[in-house]
Amino acid sequence: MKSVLKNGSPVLATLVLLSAWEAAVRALRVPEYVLPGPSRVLESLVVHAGPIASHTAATLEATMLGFSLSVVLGLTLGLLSGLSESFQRAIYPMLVAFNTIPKVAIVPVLVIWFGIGKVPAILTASLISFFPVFVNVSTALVTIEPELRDMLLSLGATRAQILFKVGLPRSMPYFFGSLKIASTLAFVGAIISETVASNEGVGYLMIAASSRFDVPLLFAGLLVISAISVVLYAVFVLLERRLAGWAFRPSG
Amino acid sequence: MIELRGVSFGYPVRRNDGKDHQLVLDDVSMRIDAGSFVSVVGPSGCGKTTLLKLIAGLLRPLKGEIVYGGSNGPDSRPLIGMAFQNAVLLPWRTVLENVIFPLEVVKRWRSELRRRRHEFVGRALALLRSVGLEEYAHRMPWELSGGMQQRVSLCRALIHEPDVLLLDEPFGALDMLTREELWSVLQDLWIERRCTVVMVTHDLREAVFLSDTIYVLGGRPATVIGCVTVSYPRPRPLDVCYRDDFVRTTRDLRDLLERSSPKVVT
Repeated sequence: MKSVLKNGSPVLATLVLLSAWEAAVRALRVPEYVLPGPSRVLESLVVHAGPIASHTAATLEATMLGFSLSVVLGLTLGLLSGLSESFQRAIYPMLVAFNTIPKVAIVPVLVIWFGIGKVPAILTASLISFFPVFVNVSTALVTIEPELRDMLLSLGATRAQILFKVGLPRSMPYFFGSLKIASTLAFVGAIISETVASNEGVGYLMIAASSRFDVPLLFAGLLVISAISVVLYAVFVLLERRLAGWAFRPSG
Repeated sequence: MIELRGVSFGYPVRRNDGKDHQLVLDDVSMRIDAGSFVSVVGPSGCGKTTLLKLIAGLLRPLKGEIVYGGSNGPDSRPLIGMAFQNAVLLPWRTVLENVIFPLEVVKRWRSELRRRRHEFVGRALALLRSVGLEEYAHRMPWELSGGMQQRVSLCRALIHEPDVLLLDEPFGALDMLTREELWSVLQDLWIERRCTVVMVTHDLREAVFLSDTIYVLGGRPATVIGCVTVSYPRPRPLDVCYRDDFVRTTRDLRDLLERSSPKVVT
């Protein structure tokens, strides 16, 4: 009973929320163009399943491409600044400044450079999500225990050896932690760009739905986005357990 | 043999009066015979760890020189093994993989690792057996107690057959019974291979029990204020700690230390 409760609690909590929502909408007779109940959203999801699927595929593609780019970028910058303190000191302020810029503000620039469509979505996704990867990897590399570094140096280890033998394996839990954040951020980036400048993707679909006051469809889009984020998150948790499982000790 | 000749060292500081180093060690001279067990004792923060780093070649003396085996050329530095108060095992590797680790790094062994892996694993297992941990070879470090981790750390410091073993308060974080147990483990390992050992500690009993020679550091910046030779036959049983002359030696060391460091007035 206890384990059923433990494993089923997320499902239970979601169901309670949805039922309360449905009940409130019906009891208060909230108009559909303000807030549709979950049943209406689900209905819309089924009715528009075809277009939703194709737009979702487009968003997913932009997200994954942008995310891959961000991992490469974040990992490269993280490794470089983990290797060289002066490099880190040189680029850190710049990256922090850049990260503070609202990414919506960048989309118009990207549109001018690359036109409306997929490229701005991919780039926005990667620009919004590379920062956590960079910060985590570089932090992991500069926080190697001084004793460990001393031992390696006394054995005659080179910088590259320290990086590959200790730095990288040690940074894996940090890296996967950052992937969980970055993957969901990439989604946000892609959708932001699609809402502003695209003819496809969930973001575009939602903007189109909102201009037609098709609020159930709007919510259907939100539902799809959340569902995919959860799946993506779960994938990285699985990967993390496989590749950096040593960092997780069984408790109790 | 390792000889320190008038070694001074300081860490850089920025000051107005033009001094650019805060001296930690001043004119330290020591003679560490090959195959002997030498301890360095001194109040905490007196530069004992810095001394080990100098011997390991991780730091360069500001003044004076460190001569290895009679010559001071750049290639004369001996092969070094190190262990610290903190075992710093690699948490993603099993105990056995941790012990083998130096063989993947040291030039002399690295090239032969693939060909002789089987032999090296055997060597690591033999080492683990000698510290009573053979059955833990395939466990992860976190499954081991602090004392066990420290044993693994000792094995790791010895696997590549170093000429010099440098120990930085290796048993400082352990309870007294475990500590005394590991004194004997360390003594046995050392008797078996007779490498040169330089151990930094602030436990005077530990120093007297294990060492042939004890150097006492004191003052600020620190310098050698005493040198004691201990000549009990080996292997020394733990009972030796309760002999009158053992207790006297420990007390003499304590007096020496106390006299050198002015009491803090509160």
